[in-house]
Amino acid sequence: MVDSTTMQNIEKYLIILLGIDDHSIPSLTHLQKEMFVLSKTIPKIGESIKFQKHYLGPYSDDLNDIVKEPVFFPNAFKFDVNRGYRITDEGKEILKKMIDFNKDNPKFIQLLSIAKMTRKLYDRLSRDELLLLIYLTYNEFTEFSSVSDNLLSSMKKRELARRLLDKGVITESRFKEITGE
Amino acid sequence: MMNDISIIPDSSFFICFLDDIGKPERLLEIINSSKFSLIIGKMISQEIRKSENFFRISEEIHQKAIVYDYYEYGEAVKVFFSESEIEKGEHEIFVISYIFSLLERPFIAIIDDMDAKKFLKNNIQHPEFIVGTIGFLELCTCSYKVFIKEVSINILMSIKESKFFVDPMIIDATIEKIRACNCD
Repeated sequence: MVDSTTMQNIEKYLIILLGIDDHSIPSLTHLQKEMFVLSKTIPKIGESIKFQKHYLGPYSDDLNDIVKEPVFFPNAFKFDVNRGYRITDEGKEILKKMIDFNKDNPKFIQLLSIAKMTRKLYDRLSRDELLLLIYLTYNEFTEFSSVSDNLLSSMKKRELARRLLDKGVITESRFKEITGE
Repeated sequence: MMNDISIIPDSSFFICFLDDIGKPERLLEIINSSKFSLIIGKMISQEIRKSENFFRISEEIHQKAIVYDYYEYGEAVKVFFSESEIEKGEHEIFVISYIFSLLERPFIAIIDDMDAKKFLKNNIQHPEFIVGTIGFLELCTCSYKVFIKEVSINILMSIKESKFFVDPMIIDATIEKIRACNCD
């Protein structure tokens, strides 16, 4: 388990990720993978959250524990079976205070923008589409995976890549790279 | 001090002037223009340094360019791009442009890779601010008056004869638009 400072930081990153968009994050898999790409993008998040190989790709035990039982901001977010993970009104207030406090900090402003972009792009993906793209990009995380063989089979890859292209969430060049066309 | 509009070019924009047409002085006019602030990411900054003519603009890049280097911007969207697009830094341009768009800051993204450009246009709030090098030259002439028509047409003719990858019909159409615009 992480120390209390790191735990508090992770709760703040969750408040940002969940609060930056009005909608819920569709699933725990989405939440884990969105925080994973943010950990690759923003070094401070990468220092706080370590991801392991897991049966559904990159996964953090700490993130999983904290999103279910936050300590520092216990009422900032919640899980709803029908709506997924979402920010509460209390969480929105905390985020607003964080934004006010950092309003002249360009690094923080950029972090918010990147978090919002991540939500906009990744929330649109189905679980299989999301995992396919993660496995193709970060191949080392296929180890211990229970679903990668199926997702990376040529038929399934082609089907998912076509859907991603039709949704406009991968480039034509990425589509060709995935399908080998 | 930020100028009015931030331009966020990909590496092909720089290579066009430095290597393809060998007119770095025209690139310097754009970089030195009071109309624009030049924004580049870490990857693009490294990519353009590979040009053997980079020394012609190195001082101005050092003084004028605002390098986005807080984060590994491209990592956030790497999964959506092909390896060849990632090598060229197209994913980095995507994220930096997205940030400008979300923050409602005036910007022009200059992307010549057709797939990357289409992808950005599909996913951004302000697709009208995304152009290619040729489209940007038109803006430089007709909207921002960085170049007079004669200079701009001369650059476009040089591009047409160079190895810069663009449909010659696009250049011809742009020359016609520049001739017709009411800007001199």
